[in-house]
Amino acid sequence: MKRILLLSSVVLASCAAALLAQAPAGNLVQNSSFEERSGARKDGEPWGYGFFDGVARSPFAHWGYSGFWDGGDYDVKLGKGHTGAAGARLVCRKRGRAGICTEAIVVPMGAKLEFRGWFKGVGAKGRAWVNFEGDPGDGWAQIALPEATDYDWTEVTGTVTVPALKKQPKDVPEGKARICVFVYTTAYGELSIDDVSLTPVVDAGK
Amino acid sequence: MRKLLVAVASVLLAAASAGAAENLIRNGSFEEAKKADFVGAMPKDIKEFYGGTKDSPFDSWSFGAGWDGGSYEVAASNESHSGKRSCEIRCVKKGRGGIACSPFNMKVGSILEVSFWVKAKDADGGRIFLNSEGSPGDGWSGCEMKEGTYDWTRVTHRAVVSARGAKDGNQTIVLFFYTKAAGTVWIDDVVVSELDVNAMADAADMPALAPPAAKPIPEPVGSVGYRVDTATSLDKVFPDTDYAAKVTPTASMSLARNEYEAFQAIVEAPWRDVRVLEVKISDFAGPATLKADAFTWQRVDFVETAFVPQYQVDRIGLYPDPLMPAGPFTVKKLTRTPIWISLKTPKDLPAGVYAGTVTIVPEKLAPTVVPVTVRVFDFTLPDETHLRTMTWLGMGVVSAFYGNMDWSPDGRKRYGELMNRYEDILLEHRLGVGGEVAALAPNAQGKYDFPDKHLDRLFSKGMNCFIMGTAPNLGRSGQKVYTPEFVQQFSAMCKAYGDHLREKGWLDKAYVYTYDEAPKSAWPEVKKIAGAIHAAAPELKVLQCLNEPEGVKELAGIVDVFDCYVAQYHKTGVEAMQKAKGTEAWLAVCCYPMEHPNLFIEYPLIDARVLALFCWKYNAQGFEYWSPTAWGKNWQGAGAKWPMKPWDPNTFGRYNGDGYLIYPGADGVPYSSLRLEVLRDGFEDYEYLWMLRDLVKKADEKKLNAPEVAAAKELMKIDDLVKDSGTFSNSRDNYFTVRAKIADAVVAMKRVVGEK
Repeated sequence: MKRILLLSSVVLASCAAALLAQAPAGNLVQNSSFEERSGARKDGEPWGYGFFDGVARSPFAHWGYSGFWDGGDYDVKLGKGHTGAAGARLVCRKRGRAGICTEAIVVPMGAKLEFRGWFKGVGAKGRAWVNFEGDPGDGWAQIALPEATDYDWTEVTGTVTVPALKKQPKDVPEGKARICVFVYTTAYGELSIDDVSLTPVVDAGK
Repeated sequence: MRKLLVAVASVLLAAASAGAAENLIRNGSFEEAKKADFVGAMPKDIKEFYGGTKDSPFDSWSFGAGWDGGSYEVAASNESHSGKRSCEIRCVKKGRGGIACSPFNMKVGSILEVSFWVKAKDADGGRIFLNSEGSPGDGWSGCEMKEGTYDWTRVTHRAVVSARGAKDGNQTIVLFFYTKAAGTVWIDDVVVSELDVNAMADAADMPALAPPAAKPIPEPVGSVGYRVDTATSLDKVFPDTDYAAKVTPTASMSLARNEYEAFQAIVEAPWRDVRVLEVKISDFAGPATLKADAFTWQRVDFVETAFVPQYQVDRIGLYPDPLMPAGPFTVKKLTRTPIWISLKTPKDLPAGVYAGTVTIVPEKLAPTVVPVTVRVFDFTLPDETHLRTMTWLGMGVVSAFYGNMDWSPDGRKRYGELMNRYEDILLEHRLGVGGEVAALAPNAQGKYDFPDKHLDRLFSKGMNCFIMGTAPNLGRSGQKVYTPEFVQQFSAMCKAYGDHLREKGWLDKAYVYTYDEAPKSAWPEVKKIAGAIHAAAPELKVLQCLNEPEGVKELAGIVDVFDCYVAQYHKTGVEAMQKAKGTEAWLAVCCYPMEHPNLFIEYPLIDARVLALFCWKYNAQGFEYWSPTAWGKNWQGAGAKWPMKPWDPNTFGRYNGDGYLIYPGADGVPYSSLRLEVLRDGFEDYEYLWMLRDLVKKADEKKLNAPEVAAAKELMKIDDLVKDSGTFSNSRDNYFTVRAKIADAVVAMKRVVGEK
């Protein structure tokens, strides 16, 4: 009985941590804390098509993954996480380029968005960065991750503005564009990722 | 608790299923012999993926024996990794051969995982690679295998299935295992499966690939606190590989008069950071005094690659290449730094052996003296480079790197000085900068301002050929034909410039470059423009870069010079044109094809050195390299630039080091590279052979039948370095041995013909 109680308290503690780890209000990133797993393949998953050509499904719901760009070979693994029970880890087997990415997010052109995410590097010698892709093009904005080889959980922030598109994409409401956020590493070692958020910035006075 | 058990069981099941995934191909172990018609029985839409192949001795595998002009044989071998049989592919004639597995289907966005075992014997001189083909297209993914000789080695490859060409979200995939190498390759135990990402996420942790680092070694009693080793000019010394048990702090080199040669002194810091303040070089004693000022030293710096390129490499990481100016530097603990010590021998230096020292002077530690001997051969290299050499110096990029985009009189002056420095460093390395001395347009009065002053300067510094005009690649500007106006203006320019060059006595150095790498659809345009040039100025030589055999046949007799890639030489049919029609041939390297020799950052330095010898072997009159300064993104952006921030060696496509041989140093001063230094060494080796041939010719004219003449003729074939087939010796010791024999033959032949 004591054991069951102990287990229950662990579960409750995990739930509390997960609640604490919830993304800021207005976070456009789904499953931003990587707590939800992807499970079996579902119909209608976007991976492999369009912006996600070359991207596979990941073990995390609403996130895609590839570990095999530029001749590399990286695993995506379940990690301990910055908060909550889980985070994502990209683990290098052969150096090249790997990444995880959000599903497409529809935002107004010209919108100012604040990116926040927590990252940790272990033996991660090499470059890693946040790359904004989608209708405005690959890499329409970038935010560098720490350059150190080993670093504990570190919050990385940046503000990006969605460019205006010359041509309105089909199937997207007028004045809006689809964007997706990729986290890439070309480094050795491991890169851990958790608690990612993308929130619209509301200018004071508006 | 039950939930926990279920969760644990699920993880175990997932791991088990990941470990015993279904093999998506048939007969991956090659144990089953052919039972029935394989390729012939396929539906038409799948059969097309097997073009050029027919059934193999194995069930469910087909074999292509002869792509790219090659000939390969396939057999069941008892040299198996497991079971009784493996697939053996043997080269009869180099080209490309390979086997293809049974087709299988995968969903778009799923992850293909291929695992197999490979073994090779004498598999040199070409790629060995896995190529994923089928409905996503040829080569939509793949991986390289090692060349050479090695025992069974496991290879795994993973890739996300692309949406390109997919029907209803599915792809039909066929895997080809190709060899373009000589020798024999064995393949066994091919397993193809779909990777389950959830199983991968939950599987037990394996350590990540760590950055390379030298293993610590104990500091011996009596250590001076660091070590000094030496290496030849053909060694690539890495900063992070393990330390050897012993070091050899002595060096020797041999060279003719008026020649450059180098060796490397390596400062190793296994125990602490070492600050090197100075490298002192003594006068060398011998038949005369070889003054210290004939030597220079530079620190070898490293550039870091970050991915597996499209060719096989031994490592990803730091590679030595840029040569930094002499000055104090720090060798970080557990690394090493090579120093490039170069000698240019004076023209009047007596032959013989000279001895001197190089002293490494660190801060707060005892200096290390490296004894060095130099053997000087009894002949003098000419200033002239007899192999025509050319590159296209992209001054736009150079100028932009330094932010010098000011076209005021002062800005133009700075631009001119910058260009002179960049031209000079290349010409000092016997690499002509003739790709840019062209593009003439008539002035307002309809006359031409010929670049006599510029040409005169470049000729005085050793340039031996140049492009006087270029008819552009139309495809790159979205055009299809040379317009009548262009043809008229271009041929008029060629005529006027040609007449002028004849008057100046420079016509024999001039070439007109037509349609770079013309595709078949453009061959009529090449004929048109070459015809117009020859009609206007019959003496002008039209140079055509072309690598397609059909095109070479089509344009033979129409263009005067074929410029083809070293690894394509035999396939293009240029050799036959040289023999039958006396067509001039030039050789080049570029990102395609990727076979050795090439100038990629990862390739051994012997590749750079042997290029000129390929020209000799193939009787090619020229060598061209498409750019010494294609710096990719390194020149772009505001803020800090190299060397304040790391150099990105990936300047083009998925290649490292392609299209640059010099680096943008401080204050507009270009820095050389190991590859450029060694390329020059190769051009100098070519001069050895040129001198030998000249002496043999003189001996033949005098009808001298001394045994040295026959020996020299044998050496001139350079069979020990470059084979007719296109393979070459990658042993640096062999290279230096053969070069010394050629040098001795030059000295002997001078004696035979009575020359001093």
